[in-house]
Amino acid sequence: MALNEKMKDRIEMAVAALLIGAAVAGSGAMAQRDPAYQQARADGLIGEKTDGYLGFVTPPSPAVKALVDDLNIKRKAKYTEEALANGATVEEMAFRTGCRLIKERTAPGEMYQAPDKSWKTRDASPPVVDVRCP
Amino acid sequence: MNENDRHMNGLFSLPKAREGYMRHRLTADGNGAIRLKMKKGAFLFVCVAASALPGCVQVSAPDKPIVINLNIAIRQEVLYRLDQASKEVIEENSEIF
Repeated sequence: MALNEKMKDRIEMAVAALLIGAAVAGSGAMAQRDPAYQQARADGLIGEKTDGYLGFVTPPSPAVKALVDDLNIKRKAKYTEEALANGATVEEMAFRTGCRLIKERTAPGEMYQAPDKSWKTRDASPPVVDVRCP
Repeated sequence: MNENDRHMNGLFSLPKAREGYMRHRLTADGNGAIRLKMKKGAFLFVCVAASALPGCVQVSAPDKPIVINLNIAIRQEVLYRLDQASKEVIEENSEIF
């Protein structure tokens, strides 16, 4: 009887753990961009820079500036974390991620920065990236 | 044989005694030896000479601020190593990328 109780407890705990795990994974996958951020990207007000951060294509409104500053601070925090874990500098981690962001995460119509610092609009063709990008 | 010669040849002649005394004063380790005074004098002389030497190494604070360049170049081999990390950082934080 006591054994049965224990097993029941264990099964309940396992089920609870599974449910929590699923919820966390779900929320991770569900993470979406702020609509204002998505809109600013689509409107070409901001774009992906070569250094792994967001930049202003046109002089920003205070709201857009605040939005981008906040995102860049959060990006830098993540880059710092990953750089430490991988024995790289923050600049290296940011640059590597920037290469990927321009190649894989800019949609046609969105802006990105070319190695010569000029802003380009992403189209169906491959973007112009820094020669150092792997 | 004059007076002086007699003194020199004698067992306890005055010049010999004086010479012995002076040697004792200069070299013996007796109390109040001149040698000690000479040592002190020599030490003082070295100090003064060293401070007066023009060939001394001069160390002075720079007038310009010290600048450390933190603009570290991006290392190519590190970029290759960050392939997986960059992929994961985007996937796990998709709301900020």
